Amino acid sequence: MEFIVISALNGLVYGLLLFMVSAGLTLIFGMMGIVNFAHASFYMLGAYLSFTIARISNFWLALLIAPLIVMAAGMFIERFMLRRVHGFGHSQQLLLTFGIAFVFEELVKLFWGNFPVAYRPPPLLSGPAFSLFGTNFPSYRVFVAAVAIVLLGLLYLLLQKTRIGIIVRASVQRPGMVSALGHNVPLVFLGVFGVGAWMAGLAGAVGGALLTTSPTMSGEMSVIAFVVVVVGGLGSLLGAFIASLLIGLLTSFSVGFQVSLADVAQLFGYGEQARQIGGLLTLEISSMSASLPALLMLVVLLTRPAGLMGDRN
Amino acid sequence: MKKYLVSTAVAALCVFGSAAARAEPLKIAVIEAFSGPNAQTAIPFVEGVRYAIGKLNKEGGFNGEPIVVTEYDSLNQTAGAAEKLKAAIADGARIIIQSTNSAITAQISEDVRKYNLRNKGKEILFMMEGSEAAEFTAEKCQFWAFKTASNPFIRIKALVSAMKDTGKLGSKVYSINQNYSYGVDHEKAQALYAKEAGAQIVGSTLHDTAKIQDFSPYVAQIKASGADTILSGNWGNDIILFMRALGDAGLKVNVGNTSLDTTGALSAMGPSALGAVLVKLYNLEAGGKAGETFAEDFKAVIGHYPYNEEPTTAFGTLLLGEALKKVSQPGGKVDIKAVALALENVSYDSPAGRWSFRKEDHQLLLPVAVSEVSKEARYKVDGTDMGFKLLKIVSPEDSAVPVDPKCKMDRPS
Repeated sequence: MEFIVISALNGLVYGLLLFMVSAGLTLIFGMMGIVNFAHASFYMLGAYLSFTIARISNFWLALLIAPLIVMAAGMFIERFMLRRVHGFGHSQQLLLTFGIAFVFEELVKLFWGNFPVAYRPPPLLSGPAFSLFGTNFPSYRVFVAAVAIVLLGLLYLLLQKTRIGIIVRASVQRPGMVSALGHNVPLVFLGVFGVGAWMAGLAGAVGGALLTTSPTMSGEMSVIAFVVVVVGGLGSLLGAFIASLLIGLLTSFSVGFQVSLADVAQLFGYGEQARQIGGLLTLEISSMSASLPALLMLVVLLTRPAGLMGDRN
Repeated sequence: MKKYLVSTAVAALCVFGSAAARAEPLKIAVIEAFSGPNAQTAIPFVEGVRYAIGKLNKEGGFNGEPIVVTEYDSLNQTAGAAEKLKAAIADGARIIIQSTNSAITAQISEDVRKYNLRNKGKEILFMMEGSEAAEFTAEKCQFWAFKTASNPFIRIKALVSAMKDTGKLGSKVYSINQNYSYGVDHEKAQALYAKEAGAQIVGSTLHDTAKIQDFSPYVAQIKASGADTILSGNWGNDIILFMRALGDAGLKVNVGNTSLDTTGALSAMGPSALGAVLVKLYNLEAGGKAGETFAEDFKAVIGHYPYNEEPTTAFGTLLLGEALKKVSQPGGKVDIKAVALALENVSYDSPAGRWSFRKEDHQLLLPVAVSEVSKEARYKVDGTDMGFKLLKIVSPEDSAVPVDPKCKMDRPS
């Protein structure tokens, strides 16, 4: 019971953080058809900027300012780089964002050094929030979850209940028609890209203190964020939300399952033989918990090629 | 134009002629991951080599000539390392130094073995100055390769004995390691020596390397097992994130690890690292006056106090220097076989104790330093108020583990 509750809470927090990063990624893809490899770089940039700002002022100000700077950087990239290569097709955009990701990583190493920095939760949030079965649940984790949920709510209201949201959603479906109706579609694209970058920056600002702030963080997050987007369905916000939580819980719970194929064979009386063969048969589920999201992606791609909530199923 | 060509050729000949008159300089190649994510781990190893070679050259170099060191970027890939090894040999390197990533060490070791078989009399010597995998002095041991690093068994033996002596080893041990050859070796070593010390292993986990973002599920698992001591060989982000998750959960347990001193690790872990025990090849607090002299000298040359793996390669390369001094003759030829034979017999006195090779498997015998993360440490690291306070130096005799029977070394006649 204790393990289930703690694992569920940890999985939820991690899943919500994943959602903050992948929401922007899926939004940008759904709208502009851009597979943005530099998205996780926005996450890293957010973490490093807020680390620096928190050091010279305070954490709360950093949380406000850092994502805005990241947003500005994102809009700059959209306006002056992506828009230039827009006419040449997807592969050019893909290569461009891939290159930008490298540039960001090297820039971060140049300015902050090639090692993790001491970005930690502020004193106010570094204590335990509550205690469960004798294990402290850190208040910073609760805070991260709260930020993600508020963000989700705001995003929902913005897209579903406002005029801007209607235009954005229409631009996704029929950009030509929206343009003909007199709306400035490039401006909408710029805005969406900026908001996507802002969310990744915010995720970095809160996530950097929860996990580590190091030059490798973008690479680590990039892979998992893409898995989330593919599993959830390219362009689907709800899909990304479900996939994030699913992956968070999956990695969290699988750690506790020290079960291997040999144990299954044991049920049929072949346990000894299976253990002697070794290899895959004795590989415990817990030891491959970080690979399970990739396995999930494979299963989803085989059964629902457009993802859980994709339009084209 | 023709005239110009002839004159340059003559000039070139003159240059070569004069070079031939002097002794042939010893060329050493350092093959390391200078770029990419692994550069973070690799650079300290290289700094140690740079310091040691500088010191050897100041003391007269080899055969009266300065030792020439060239650095090659392996890009942290086995294929890249193999290419760079070829380039280094073509450039005239006779000694190869390489430290990080056991897969690359295995690649170079194999290439060196083949090269030496085919080029008798022009052999090259391979110094493995960092890779910890035990196989390099077991099934993969060879005469031309020397390992100036420990292995999981040496480290964990010293760690467990020092933790026991200082009352930091409980009775229930949980072992958590990365799921590849190094982590698997660690798991075996931890099970073996915890049992020898009278503790019980209550659980063990192998997890994906450098992929886990959140270690709290593992901490929940450890808490459920009732362990009071954790042993781990994790390095890099895997130990930082683990220590933070441990601190967040408020779990009060003893921790023993091998890599708490990676640059940036202590500052990223914060106070949750306090009290954790580190086993390392050296600690700056060791050796009294001699230790201080080494630290200050290193700082004067490199610009900071030796940290992380810098002392490892500094001493390893200085041990090589002892052998070089033995065979060095002004104006003489570079005789690598003589250097290798001398290496088997020389020793280097580090401030913490004597470093020497065991003839049977070319494993380094060395004193091992066990320290605790503490605010009372003499040298603070990462700009924090914490550092590594020396708990105990485990002597070369006590830290040594038996020769692996799988090591069958072909010695040159």
